[in-house]
Amino acid sequence: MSNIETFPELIKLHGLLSVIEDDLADGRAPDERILKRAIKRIRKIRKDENMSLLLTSSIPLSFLLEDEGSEAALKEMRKAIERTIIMSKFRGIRSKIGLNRPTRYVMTYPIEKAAKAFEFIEGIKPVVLTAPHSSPPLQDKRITAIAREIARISGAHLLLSKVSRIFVDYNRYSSRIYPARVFLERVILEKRIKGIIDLHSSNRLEYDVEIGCFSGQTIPRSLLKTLEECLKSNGVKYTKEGRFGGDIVWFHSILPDAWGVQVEISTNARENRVVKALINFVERL
Amino acid sequence: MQVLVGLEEELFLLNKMGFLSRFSEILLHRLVKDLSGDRDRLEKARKYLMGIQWEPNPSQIEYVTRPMGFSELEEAVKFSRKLIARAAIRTNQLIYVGSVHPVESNPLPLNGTHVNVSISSNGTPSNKLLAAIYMHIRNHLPEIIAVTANSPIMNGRIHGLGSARMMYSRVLKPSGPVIMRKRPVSFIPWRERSKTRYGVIFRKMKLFKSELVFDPTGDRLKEIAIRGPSTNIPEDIHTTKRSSRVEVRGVDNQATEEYLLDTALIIAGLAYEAAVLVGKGVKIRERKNLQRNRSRAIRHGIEAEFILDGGERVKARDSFLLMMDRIKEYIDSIGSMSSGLREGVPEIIRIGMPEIVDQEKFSKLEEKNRVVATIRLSGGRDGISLTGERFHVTGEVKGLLFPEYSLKFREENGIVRKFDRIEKRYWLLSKEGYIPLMESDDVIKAITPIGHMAKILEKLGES
Repeated sequence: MSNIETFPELIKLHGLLSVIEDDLADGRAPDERILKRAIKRIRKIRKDENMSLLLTSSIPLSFLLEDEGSEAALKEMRKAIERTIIMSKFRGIRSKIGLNRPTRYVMTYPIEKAAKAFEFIEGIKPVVLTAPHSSPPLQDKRITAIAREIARISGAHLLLSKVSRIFVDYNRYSSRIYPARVFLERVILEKRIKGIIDLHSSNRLEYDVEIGCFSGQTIPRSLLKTLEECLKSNGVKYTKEGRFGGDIVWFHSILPDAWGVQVEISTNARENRVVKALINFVERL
Repeated sequence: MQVLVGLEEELFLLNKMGFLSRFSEILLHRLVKDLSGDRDRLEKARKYLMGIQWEPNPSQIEYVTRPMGFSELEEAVKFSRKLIARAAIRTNQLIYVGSVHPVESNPLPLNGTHVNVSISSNGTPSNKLLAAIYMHIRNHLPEIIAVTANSPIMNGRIHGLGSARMMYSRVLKPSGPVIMRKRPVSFIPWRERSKTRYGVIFRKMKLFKSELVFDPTGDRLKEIAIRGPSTNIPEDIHTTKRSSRVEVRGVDNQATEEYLLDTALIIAGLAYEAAVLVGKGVKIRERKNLQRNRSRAIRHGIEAEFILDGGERVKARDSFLLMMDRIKEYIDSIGSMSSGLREGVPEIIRIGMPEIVDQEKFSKLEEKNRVVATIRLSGGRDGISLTGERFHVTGEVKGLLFPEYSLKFREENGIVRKFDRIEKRYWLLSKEGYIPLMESDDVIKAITPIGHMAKILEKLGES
């Protein structure tokens, strides 16, 4: 089995799941033949090692904890397939999110400590700000202060890392099993979060801000335009071409339910302007 | 005869808990800062090192020494390791001098050592001599691989005495015999265009101009290669004759400097022997069963059994000791050995394997990716919620199975040479939080995440 053979299977499976979902939404029992066809396609995909890897890496953890037969799980399943389709088309995503093969969830930091290695500040807006590299050493400079300021004024939720990225990098595939990431996944589901803004800073940027959205795969065009308008109106120079994004944006954003964007702020930028622009953006949502 | 040896050694960067740390860029930034303010150290670095190289994985870094006499090599290796370790400490990291990370190499990233050797009477080895050195060392690669294999643990499991690096590396392809051909023009395949922009290269029309070819496309990523302008390697076309050498890449990292230097010395000794054989007019041909012995060495290391030319079988260690008896006089003329390699004892045996503490039952499930599991707990116990609170749980639990690793190792001035203990403890991520698992727990059901998808659809049909 190769990608060429299994990719059409993936597309067909996505179509079949949509039909099953529609049946359930209309209160009908799903057509048995369609269910059988869908199961057959899943088994075919399983034989393709590479596609299995992509599909497994796209499955939300909440889905794996769902009871079998759950209707909510069906939607999650379809979303995972959507994400796999995009990953099959854009090969660069794998390296960006740190997905090595074979895919394994491994904890390299004690769970007792990891459960205390993040801080969540509840907000009122359906937006969550994340700062995965906010803890020293090797932290993103000033990012904690910037994130707190934006969250305080805009009313967005805020998730800050309390462990250095030397130990746990929350913006990589391998950290999905960590309490902070599982918590983020729950917050997005339970608080019906519409958007994730993943904040970073760097001293090696040409522009004040670099926007990462996996070439537009993780944010609707209209929202991206709004973000650009907010940056422009506050005199912030930005580019959309630089940063591609990381695993937080990739894994936790599934359109149309939740969008995600990585914002990399230059340490040389005028901080108050960037903060104001991002507050404006959250407020306009 | 002038014998020059150069080493390239890849190193891992670790965090203080022994896991890979991806900050080679920050480390090098720190190193440059430190060297800029320390004239003595900078002078020493310039004397010993060509430079420090990036690796594709940011948790790896490689130092490259200049070609030098063997007497200087010990100082160069110790200095280079210390230099990088010092910068690592200052960036809250450590260096690990092993070939394979016991947990996070799955199978990549992998480290190796490249030994470059050049022998000549006038500073420039002839093509004939280069070809002989290449063929002679290549003939002894099985012995070299067997005694230097040093990657005992991979992915949290025992890999054994063989070389995991040689087995899984994508850039250590088997080498072919070298041929000399005369041609005034070279063709570079399109896929090699990143190495040189030229598709066709015209060379000077010299009467005796010949090219050493061990790979028809000039691919240098082999376990052994001839380097320099006389080859068809696109990257080497514009180098000088003085840089001509044989590069042995099929060597696992050696944790101690003694073993590392002795490995380089053995390779230099073989090169010397080749030069003597050339002087006597002996033509070096490929040994019978070379590829079979090579594969055996990779798989079983020092425990391999080689097949001799006549079909007799011999233990890798005995074959190595026979080789050592033969080249002893050449080795002694270059330097002296100080490690267990004198007796054919590889480092992996001398320093011993790490202890692995595993929960086999769950480990097997994880290996098969059957991680969506329902477990009947053998007794009540406390779990940890996502936010760190304790909760009590008994009976059947469902969730995602995963291991938590803890590593014990010895660190000396920022250098980790060996992991002593690898502890693997399994947990189940349930809706309530994390539940520690015990060997006495019963696995009721365990399926793969994709199998879980199929099960969900099956259940929908039943309901």
